[in-house]
Amino acid sequence: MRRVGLLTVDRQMRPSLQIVSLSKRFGHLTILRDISLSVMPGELVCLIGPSGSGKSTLLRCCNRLEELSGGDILIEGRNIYSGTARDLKTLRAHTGMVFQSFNLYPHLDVLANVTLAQRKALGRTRKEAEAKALDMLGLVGLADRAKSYPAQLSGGQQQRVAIARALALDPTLMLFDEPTSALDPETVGSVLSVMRNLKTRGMTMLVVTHEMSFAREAADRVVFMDGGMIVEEGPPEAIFGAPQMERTQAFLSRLSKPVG
Amino acid sequence: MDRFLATFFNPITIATYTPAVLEGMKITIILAVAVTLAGTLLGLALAMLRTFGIRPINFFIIAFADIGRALPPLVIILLVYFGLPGIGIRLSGPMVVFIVLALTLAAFAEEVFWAGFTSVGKGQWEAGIATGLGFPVTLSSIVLPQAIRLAIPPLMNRILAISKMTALGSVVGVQEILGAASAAQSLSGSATPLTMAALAYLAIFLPVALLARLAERRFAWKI
Repeated sequence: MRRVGLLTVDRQMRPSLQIVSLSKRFGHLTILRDISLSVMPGELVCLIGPSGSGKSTLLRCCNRLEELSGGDILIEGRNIYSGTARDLKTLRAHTGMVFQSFNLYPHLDVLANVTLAQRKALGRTRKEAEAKALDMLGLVGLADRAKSYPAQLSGGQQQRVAIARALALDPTLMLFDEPTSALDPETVGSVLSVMRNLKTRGMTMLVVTHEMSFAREAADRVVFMDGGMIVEEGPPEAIFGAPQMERTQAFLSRLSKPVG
Repeated sequence: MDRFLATFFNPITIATYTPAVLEGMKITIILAVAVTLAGTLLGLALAMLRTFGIRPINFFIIAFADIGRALPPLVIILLVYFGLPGIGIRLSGPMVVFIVLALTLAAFAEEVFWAGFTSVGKGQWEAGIATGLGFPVTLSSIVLPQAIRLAIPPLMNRILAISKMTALGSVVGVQEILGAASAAQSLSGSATPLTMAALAYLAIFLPVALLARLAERRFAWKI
Protein backbone atom coordinates (compact mmCIF):
# COMPACT_ATOMS: atom_id res chain seq x y z
CA MET A 1 0.00 0.00 0.00
CA ARG A 2 2.78 2.45 0.89
CA ARG A 3 3.70 3.22 -2.68
CA VAL A 4 6.42 0.57 -2.55
CA GLY A 5 6.18 0.16 -6.29
CA LEU A 6 6.45 3.88 -6.82
CA LEU A 7 9.43 4.14 -4.56
CA THR A 8 11.42 1.66 -6.60
CA VAL A 9 10.79 3.83 -9.61
CA ASP A 10 11.77 6.89 -7.58
CA ARG A 11 15.07 5.34 -6.66
CA GLN A 12 16.21 5.55 -10.23
CA MET A 13 15.40 9.24 -10.32
CA ARG A 14 17.59 12.03 -9.10
CA PRO A 15 16.85 12.90 -5.47
CA SER A 16 15.28 16.28 -4.80
CA LEU A 17 17.53 16.63 -1.81
CA GLN A 18 20.72 14.77 -1.19
CA ILE A 19 22.71 15.23 1.99
CA VAL A 20 26.15 13.62 1.86
CA SER A 21 28.15 12.96 5.05
CA LEU A 22 27.23 16.29 6.50
CA SER A 23 28.81 17.44 9.72
CA LYS A 24 28.31 20.58 11.73
CA ARG A 25 30.34 21.88 14.62
CA PHE A 26 30.09 24.92 16.85
CA GLY A 27 33.61 25.26 18.23
CA HIS A 28 34.34 21.97 19.94
CA LEU A 29 30.70 20.98 20.04
CA THR A 30 29.59 18.59 17.32
CA ILE A 31 25.96 19.21 16.42
CA LEU A 32 25.69 16.91 13.42
CA ARG A 33 27.87 13.93 12.67
CA ASP A 34 28.19 12.25 9.29
CA ILE A 35 24.60 12.64 8.14
CA SER A 36 23.62 11.17 4.79
CA LEU A 37 20.03 11.38 3.66
CA SER A 38 18.16 11.58 0.38
CA VAL A 39 14.65 12.77 -0.30
CA MET A 40 13.11 11.65 -3.57
CA PRO A 41 10.74 13.80 -5.63
CA GLY A 42 7.25 13.63 -4.16
CA GLU A 43 8.45 11.98 -0.99
CA LEU A 44 7.48 13.11 2.50
CA VAL A 45 10.22 12.42 5.01
CA CYS A 46 9.70 13.12 8.71
CA LEU A 47 12.64 13.85 10.99
CA ILE A 48 11.88 12.86 14.56
CA GLY A 49 13.95 12.68 17.69
CA PRO A 50 14.48 14.28 21.08
CA SER A 51 15.09 18.02 21.48
CA GLY A 52 18.70 18.93 20.79
CA SER A 53 19.22 15.97 18.49
CA GLY A 54 20.11 18.30 15.62
CA LYS A 55 16.96 17.87 13.51
CA SER A 56 16.29 21.57 13.10
CA THR A 57 19.93 22.37 12.46
CA LEU A 58 20.01 19.74 9.74
CA LEU A 59 16.91 21.23 8.14
CA ARG A 60 18.36 24.74 8.34
CA CYS A 61 21.54 23.59 6.62
CA CYS A 62 19.42 22.66 3.59
CA ASN A 63 18.85 26.27 2.58
CA ARG A 64 21.99 27.54 4.24
CA LEU A 65 20.41 29.34 7.13
CA GLU A 66 23.17 27.40 8.88
CA GLU A 67 26.55 26.75 7.34
CA LEU A 68 27.85 23.22 7.56
CA SER A 69 31.35 22.20 8.61
CA GLY A 70 31.80 19.23 6.30
CA GLY A 71 30.01 17.23 3.64
CA ASP A 72 27.74 18.37 0.84
CA ILE A 73 24.11 19.15 0.17
CA LEU A 74 22.66 18.82 -3.32
CA ILE A 75 19.24 20.10 -4.30
CA GLU A 76 17.99 18.93 -7.68
CA GLY A 77 21.51 17.68 -8.26
CA ARG A 78 23.13 21.05 -7.62
CA ASN A 79 25.58 21.59 -4.83
CA ILE A 80 24.23 24.45 -2.74
CA TYR A 81 27.71 25.30 -1.52
CA SER A 82 29.14 26.00 -4.93
CA GLY A 83 27.68 28.69 -7.09
CA THR A 84 27.27 32.41 -6.82
CA ALA A 85 25.31 34.50 -4.36
CA ARG A 86 22.67 34.85 -7.07
CA ASP A 87 22.40 31.04 -7.37
CA LEU A 88 21.95 30.85 -3.62
CA LYS A 89 19.07 33.34 -3.68
CA THR A 90 17.35 31.38 -6.47
CA LEU A 91 17.90 28.17 -4.56
CA ARG A 92 16.43 29.65 -1.40
CA ALA A 93 13.41 31.00 -3.25
CA HIS A 94 12.72 27.54 -4.66
CA THR A 95 13.30 25.79 -1.35
CA GLY A 96 10.30 26.62 0.76
CA MET A 97 10.89 27.01 4.46
CA VAL A 98 8.19 26.95 7.11
CA PHE A 99 9.26 28.03 10.58
CA GLN A 100 7.99 26.99 13.95
CA SER A 101 7.17 30.63 14.76
CA PHE A 102 5.63 31.39 11.33
CA ASN A 103 7.70 34.56 10.90
CA LEU A 104 5.06 36.39 8.96
CA TYR A 105 5.77 40.06 8.40
CA PRO A 106 3.56 41.85 10.96
CA HIS A 107 3.60 45.19 9.13
CA LEU A 108 2.21 43.70 5.91
CA ASP A 109 -1.18 42.22 5.20
CA VAL A 110 -1.53 38.58 4.18
CA LEU A 111 -1.49 39.33 0.46
CA ALA A 112 1.66 41.43 0.76
CA ASN A 113 3.28 38.72 2.88
CA VAL A 114 2.75 36.24 0.06
CA THR A 115 3.66 38.58 -2.81
CA LEU A 116 6.80 40.25 -1.40
CA ALA A 117 9.37 37.61 -2.32
CA GLN A 118 7.58 36.75 -5.56
CA ARG A 119 8.14 40.31 -6.69
CA LYS A 120 11.52 41.03 -5.16
CA ALA A 121 13.18 37.64 -5.52
CA LEU A 122 11.52 36.21 -8.64
CA GLY A 123 10.79 39.52 -10.35
CA ARG A 124 7.10 38.85 -10.93
CA THR A 125 4.79 41.78 -11.56
CA ARG A 126 2.35 42.79 -8.88
CA LYS A 127 -0.50 41.35 -10.92
CA GLU A 128 1.18 37.97 -11.47
CA ALA A 129 2.24 37.82 -7.84
CA GLU A 130 -1.22 38.62 -6.52
CA ALA A 131 -2.88 36.06 -8.76
CA LYS A 132 -0.42 33.43 -7.59
CA ALA A 133 -0.84 34.50 -3.97
CA LEU A 134 -4.63 34.21 -4.12
CA ASP A 135 -4.23 30.78 -5.69
CA MET A 136 -1.95 29.63 -2.91
CA LEU A 137 -4.11 31.21 -0.21
CA GLY A 138 -7.01 29.29 -1.71
CA LEU A 139 -4.99 26.12 -1.47
CA VAL A 140 -4.45 26.64 2.26
CA GLY A 141 -8.07 27.72 2.71
CA LEU A 142 -7.46 31.39 3.45
CA ALA A 143 -8.35 33.21 0.23
CA ASP A 144 -10.83 35.32 2.17
CA ARG A 145 -8.15 36.59 4.58
CA ALA A 146 -5.92 38.27 1.99
CA LYS A 147 -6.49 41.71 3.48
CA SER A 148 -6.04 40.67 7.12
CA TYR A 149 -2.91 41.37 9.09
CA PRO A 150 -1.03 38.49 10.70
CA ALA A 151 -1.99 39.66 14.20
CA GLN A 152 -5.65 39.23 13.29
CA LEU A 153 -5.18 35.55 12.48
CA SER A 154 -4.96 32.51 14.71
CA GLY A 155 -1.68 30.65 14.94
CA GLY A 156 -2.91 27.94 12.61
CA GLN A 157 -4.04 30.50 10.06
CA GLN A 158 -0.72 32.32 10.29
CA GLN A 159 1.16 29.11 9.69
CA ARG A 160 -1.00 28.35 6.66
CA VAL A 161 -0.21 31.82 5.29
CA ALA A 162 3.47 31.05 5.85
CA ILE A 163 3.02 27.85 3.86
CA ALA A 164 1.28 29.80 1.08
CA ARG A 165 4.15 32.32 1.13
CA ALA A 166 6.63 29.53 0.51
CA LEU A 167 4.46 27.75 -2.08
CA ALA A 168 4.00 30.93 -4.09
CA LEU A 169 7.67 30.75 -5.06
CA ASP A 170 7.15 27.40 -6.84
CA PRO A 171 9.42 25.38 -4.57
CA THR A 172 10.79 22.03 -5.62
CA LEU A 173 11.23 21.14 -1.98
CA MET A 174 9.50 22.25 1.20
CA LEU A 175 11.28 22.28 4.55
CA PHE A 176 9.11 22.34 7.66
CA ASP A 177 10.76 23.16 10.97
CA GLU A 178 8.33 21.96 13.66
CA PRO A 179 5.42 23.66 11.91
CA THR A 180 2.86 22.83 14.58
CA SER A 181 4.92 23.12 17.77
CA ALA A 182 3.87 26.71 18.49
CA LEU A 183 0.20 26.11 17.77
CA ASP A 184 -2.81 25.71 19.99
CA PRO A 185 -3.95 22.09 19.85
CA GLU A 186 -7.19 23.00 18.10
CA THR A 187 -5.40 24.63 15.15
CA VAL A 188 -2.76 21.94 14.64
CA GLY A 189 -5.13 19.87 12.54
CA SER A 190 -5.69 22.60 9.94
CA VAL A 191 -1.96 22.90 9.29
CA LEU A 192 -1.42 19.15 9.11
CA SER A 193 -4.28 18.75 6.68
CA VAL A 194 -2.72 21.39 4.41
CA MET A 195 0.51 19.40 4.55
CA ARG A 196 -1.31 16.17 3.69
CA ASN A 197 -2.96 17.96 0.81
CA LEU A 198 0.46 19.09 -0.44
CA LYS A 199 1.67 15.54 -0.33
CA THR A 200 -1.20 14.31 -2.47
CA ARG A 201 -0.25 17.01 -4.95
CA GLY A 202 3.22 15.52 -5.15
CA MET A 203 5.19 18.09 -3.17
CA THR A 204 8.55 16.92 -1.86
CA MET A 205 8.74 17.59 1.86
CA LEU A 206 11.21 17.25 4.69
CA VAL A 207 9.44 17.77 8.00
CA VAL A 208 10.91 18.09 11.46
CA THR A 209 8.05 17.22 13.76
CA HIS A 210 6.93 16.05 17.15
CA GLU A 211 3.54 15.02 15.75
CA MET A 212 4.11 11.28 15.80
CA SER A 213 0.64 10.44 14.57
CA PHE A 214 1.21 12.67 11.54
CA ALA A 215 4.59 11.06 10.88
CA ARG A 216 3.11 7.61 11.23
CA GLU A 217 0.20 8.20 8.90
CA ALA A 218 1.52 10.69 6.31
CA ALA A 219 5.26 10.07 5.95
CA ASP A 220 6.79 7.84 3.31
CA ARG A 221 9.85 7.55 5.44
CA VAL A 222 10.70 8.40 9.02
CA VAL A 223 14.20 9.30 10.14
CA PHE A 224 15.01 9.08 13.83
CA MET A 225 17.87 11.29 14.99
CA ASP A 226 19.61 11.43 18.32
CA GLY A 227 22.87 13.04 19.42
CA GLY A 228 23.47 14.61 16.01
CA MET A 229 23.29 11.31 14.14
CA ILE A 230 20.74 9.38 12.17
CA VAL A 231 20.04 6.40 14.39
CA GLU A 232 17.47 4.68 12.27
CA GLU A 233 15.33 5.30 9.24
CA GLY A 234 12.63 3.44 7.41
CA PRO A 235 8.96 3.38 6.53
CA PRO A 236 6.78 4.60 9.39
CA GLU A 237 5.29 1.19 10.10
CA ALA A 238 8.79 -0.18 10.66
CA ILE A 239 10.03 2.73 12.80
CA PHE A 240 6.89 2.97 14.91
CA GLY A 241 5.89 -0.69 14.74
CA ALA A 242 9.20 -2.48 15.16
CA PRO A 243 12.11 -0.11 15.84
CA GLN A 244 15.41 -1.93 15.60
CA MET A 245 17.66 0.35 17.61
CA GLU A 246 17.57 0.65 21.36
CA ARG A 247 17.59 4.46 21.31
CA THR A 248 14.62 4.56 18.96
CA GLN A 249 12.73 2.17 21.18
CA ALA A 250 13.54 4.23 24.27
CA PHE A 251 12.45 7.46 22.57
CA LEU A 252 9.20 6.05 21.29
CA SER A 253 8.31 4.33 24.54
CA ARG A 254 8.92 7.59 26.44
CA LEU A 255 6.43 9.25 24.10
CA SER A 256 3.75 6.65 24.57
CA LYS A 257 3.96 6.86 28.35
CA PRO A 258 1.49 9.25 29.93
CA VAL A 259 3.10 12.52 30.97
CA GLY A 260 3.59 13.17 34.72
CA MET B 1 -0.66 92.09 40.67
CA ASP B 2 -0.02 95.19 38.61
CA ARG B 3 3.64 94.84 39.29
CA PHE B 4 3.57 91.24 38.18
CA LEU B 5 1.80 92.13 34.96
CA ALA B 6 4.11 95.08 34.33
CA THR B 7 7.14 92.85 34.73
CA PHE B 8 6.05 89.85 32.71
CA PHE B 9 3.29 91.11 30.44
CA ASN B 10 4.08 94.77 29.76
CA PRO B 11 1.85 95.65 26.80
CA ILE B 12 4.13 98.33 25.42
CA THR B 13 7.12 96.01 25.48
CA ILE B 14 5.07 93.30 23.84
CA ALA B 15 4.07 95.64 21.05
CA THR B 16 7.62 96.83 20.56
CA TYR B 17 9.32 93.46 20.41
CA THR B 18 6.74 91.23 18.79
CA PRO B 19 8.35 91.60 15.34
CA ALA B 20 11.77 90.63 16.72
CA VAL B 21 10.39 87.57 18.50
CA LEU B 22 8.45 86.52 15.40
CA GLU B 23 11.63 86.84 13.38
CA GLY B 24 13.29 84.70 16.07
CA MET B 25 10.56 82.11 15.74
CA LYS B 26 11.25 81.85 12.06
CA ILE B 27 14.92 81.15 12.69
CA THR B 28 14.12 78.68 15.46
CA ILE B 29 11.73 76.78 13.21
CA ILE B 30 14.18 76.65 10.31
CA LEU B 31 16.98 75.47 12.59
CA ALA B 32 14.78 72.92 14.34
CA VAL B 33 13.51 71.44 11.09
CA ALA B 34 16.99 71.29 9.59
CA VAL B 35 18.43 69.66 12.73
CA THR B 36 15.57 67.14 12.87
CA LEU B 37 15.89 66.10 9.24
CA ALA B 38 19.67 65.93 9.13
CA GLY B 39 20.02 64.27 12.53
CA THR B 40 17.32 61.66 11.94
CA LEU B 41 18.54 60.72 8.48
CA LEU B 42 22.18 60.52 9.55
CA GLY B 43 21.20 58.46 12.61
CA LEU B 44 19.12 56.09 10.47
CA ALA B 45 21.90 55.72 7.91
CA LEU B 46 24.40 54.89 10.66
CA ALA B 47 22.05 52.35 12.27
CA MET B 48 21.46 50.68 8.92
CA LEU B 49 25.17 50.59 8.22
CA ARG B 50 25.64 49.02 11.64
CA THR B 51 23.33 46.10 10.76
CA PHE B 52 25.87 44.92 8.20
CA GLY B 53 28.10 44.00 11.12
CA ILE B 54 31.40 45.22 9.72
CA ARG B 55 33.53 45.47 12.81
CA PRO B 56 35.83 48.45 12.22
CA ILE B 57 32.90 50.50 10.89
CA ASN B 58 30.72 49.53 13.84
CA PHE B 59 33.48 50.57 16.20
CA PHE B 60 33.36 54.09 14.78
CA ILE B 61 29.57 54.21 14.79
CA ILE B 62 29.41 53.14 18.43
CA ALA B 63 32.17 55.57 19.40
CA PHE B 64 30.34 58.37 17.60
CA ALA B 65 27.03 57.53 19.27
CA ASP B 66 28.53 57.27 22.75
CA ILE B 67 30.61 60.43 22.51
CA GLY B 68 27.77 62.33 20.89
CA ARG B 69 25.40 61.33 23.64
CA ALA B 70 27.87 62.06 26.41
CA LEU B 71 28.96 65.57 25.43
CA PRO B 72 26.78 68.56 26.34
CA PRO B 73 25.97 70.32 23.04
CA LEU B 74 26.66 73.73 24.61
CA VAL B 75 30.29 72.79 25.18
CA ILE B 76 30.76 71.77 21.56
CA ILE B 77 28.92 74.82 20.26
CA LEU B 78 31.25 77.10 22.23
CA LEU B 79 34.30 75.08 21.31
CA VAL B 80 33.50 75.09 17.61
CA TYR B 81 32.32 78.69 17.44
CA PHE B 82 35.19 80.20 19.39
CA GLY B 83 37.87 77.61 18.72
CA LEU B 84 37.75 76.92 15.00
CA PRO B 85 38.46 80.50 13.89
CA GLY B 86 41.84 80.01 15.60
CA ILE B 87 42.75 77.51 12.87
CA GLY B 88 41.18 79.59 10.14
CA ILE B 89 37.75 77.94 9.96
CA ARG B 90 35.00 80.46 10.43
CA LEU B 91 31.44 79.17 10.64
CA SER B 92 28.38 81.31 11.23
CA GLY B 93 26.50 80.95 14.50
CA PRO B 94 23.46 79.25 12.93
CA MET B 95 25.74 76.88 11.02
CA VAL B 96 27.56 75.88 14.21
CA VAL B 97 24.30 75.28 16.04
CA PHE B 98 22.96 73.29 13.11
CA ILE B 99 26.02 71.06 12.81
CA VAL B 100 26.41 70.40 16.52
CA LEU B 101 22.74 69.71 17.20
CA ALA B 102 22.33 67.60 14.06
CA LEU B 103 25.29 65.46 15.09
CA THR B 104 23.97 65.18 18.64
CA LEU B 105 20.56 64.11 17.38
CA ALA B 106 22.23 61.68 14.97
CA ALA B 107 24.06 60.07 17.89
CA PHE B 108 20.80 59.54 19.79
CA ALA B 109 18.81 58.61 16.69
CA GLU B 110 21.38 55.98 15.75
CA GLU B 111 20.90 54.32 19.13
CA VAL B 112 17.12 54.57 18.90
CA PHE B 113 17.03 53.04 15.42
CA TRP B 114 19.56 50.42 16.41
CA ALA B 115 17.35 49.43 19.32
CA GLY B 116 14.53 49.18 16.78
CA PHE B 117 16.61 46.96 14.52
CA THR B 118 17.63 44.66 17.34
CA SER B 119 14.07 44.24 18.58
CA VAL B 120 12.92 42.98 15.20
CA GLY B 121 13.19 39.22 15.68
CA LYS B 122 15.83 37.08 14.04
CA GLY B 123 12.96 35.13 12.47
CA GLN B 124 12.05 38.11 10.32
CA TRP B 125 15.53 38.20 8.83
CA GLU B 126 15.44 34.44 8.32
CA ALA B 127 12.05 34.54 6.64
CA GLY B 128 13.32 37.13 4.19
CA ILE B 129 16.59 35.35 3.50
CA ALA B 130 14.85 31.96 3.20
CA THR B 131 12.50 33.28 0.53
CA GLY B 132 15.43 34.32 -1.63
CA LEU B 133 15.60 37.97 -0.70
CA GLY B 134 19.14 39.21 -0.19
CA PHE B 135 20.32 41.02 2.91
CA PRO B 136 19.71 44.54 1.53
CA VAL B 137 16.13 43.77 0.42
CA THR B 138 15.35 41.99 3.68
CA LEU B 139 16.69 45.01 5.52
CA SER B 140 14.77 47.59 3.53
CA SER B 141 11.46 45.77 2.92
CA ILE B 142 11.05 43.72 6.06
CA VAL B 143 13.20 44.87 8.95
CA LEU B 144 13.39 48.63 8.35
CA PRO B 145 9.64 49.34 8.34
CA GLN B 146 9.26 47.46 11.61
CA ALA B 147 12.31 49.08 13.17
CA ILE B 148 11.11 52.56 12.24
CA ARG B 149 7.74 51.86 13.79
CA LEU B 150 9.37 50.81 17.03
CA ALA B 151 11.71 53.79 16.92
CA ILE B 152 9.21 56.56 16.31
CA PRO B 153 7.96 57.23 19.86
CA PRO B 154 11.42 57.42 21.50
CA LEU B 155 12.73 59.28 18.48
CA MET B 156 10.01 61.93 18.73
CA ASN B 157 10.97 62.56 22.35
CA ARG B 158 14.58 62.91 21.39
CA ILE B 159 13.79 65.25 18.51
CA LEU B 160 11.79 67.40 20.89
CA ALA B 161 14.59 67.51 23.44
CA ILE B 162 17.28 68.37 20.94
CA SER B 163 15.46 70.70 18.57
CA LYS B 164 14.53 73.02 21.41
CA MET B 165 18.21 73.25 22.22
CA THR B 166 18.35 75.67 19.32
CA ALA B 167 17.98 78.14 22.21
CA LEU B 168 21.69 77.51 22.78
CA GLY B 169 22.22 79.56 19.64
CA SER B 170 21.66 82.65 21.78
CA VAL B 171 25.16 82.25 23.24
CA VAL B 172 26.78 82.46 19.82
CA GLY B 173 24.73 85.37 18.54
CA VAL B 174 22.02 83.50 16.69
CA GLN B 175 18.90 85.64 16.65
CA GLU B 176 16.52 82.78 17.27
CA ILE B 177 13.73 83.21 19.84
CA LEU B 178 15.85 83.34 22.95
CA GLY B 179 18.59 85.41 21.26
CA ALA B 180 16.06 87.97 20.10
CA ALA B 181 14.27 87.95 23.44
CA SER B 182 17.35 88.42 25.59
CA ALA B 183 18.52 91.26 23.37
CA ALA B 184 15.10 92.80 23.84
CA GLN B 185 15.31 92.20 27.55
CA SER B 186 18.61 94.10 27.84
CA LEU B 187 17.25 96.97 25.82
CA SER B 188 13.94 97.26 27.60
CA GLY B 189 15.06 96.23 31.05
CA SER B 190 11.87 94.20 31.26
CA ALA B 191 11.32 90.48 31.69
CA THR B 192 8.41 90.65 29.29
CA PRO B 193 10.42 89.64 26.20
CA LEU B 194 11.45 86.48 28.02
CA THR B 195 7.82 85.72 28.72
CA MET B 196 7.20 86.22 25.03
CA ALA B 197 10.07 83.82 24.30
CA ALA B 198 8.56 81.19 26.57
CA LEU B 199 5.22 81.52 24.86
CA ALA B 200 6.88 81.39 21.44
CA TYR B 201 8.65 78.15 22.37
CA LEU B 202 5.38 76.70 23.58
CA ALA B 203 3.70 77.71 20.34
CA ILE B 204 6.31 75.79 18.37
CA PHE B 205 7.11 72.80 20.54
CA LEU B 206 3.87 72.04 22.34
CA PRO B 207 2.32 70.82 19.06
CA VAL B 208 5.41 68.68 18.55
CA ALA B 209 4.93 67.17 22.00
CA LEU B 210 1.29 66.45 21.22
CA LEU B 211 2.34 64.91 17.91
CA ALA B 212 4.80 62.69 19.80
CA ARG B 213 2.00 61.55 22.06
CA LEU B 214 -0.18 60.81 19.05
CA ALA B 215 2.59 58.88 17.33
CA GLU B 216 3.12 56.83 20.44
CA ARG B 217 -0.49 55.70 20.28
CA ARG B 218 -0.59 55.38 16.51
CA PHE B 219 2.46 53.18 16.30
CA ALA B 220 1.80 50.96 19.26
CA TRP B 221 1.69 47.37 18.04
CA LYS B 222 -1.73 46.03 17.35
CA ILE B 223 -1.54 42.56 18.80
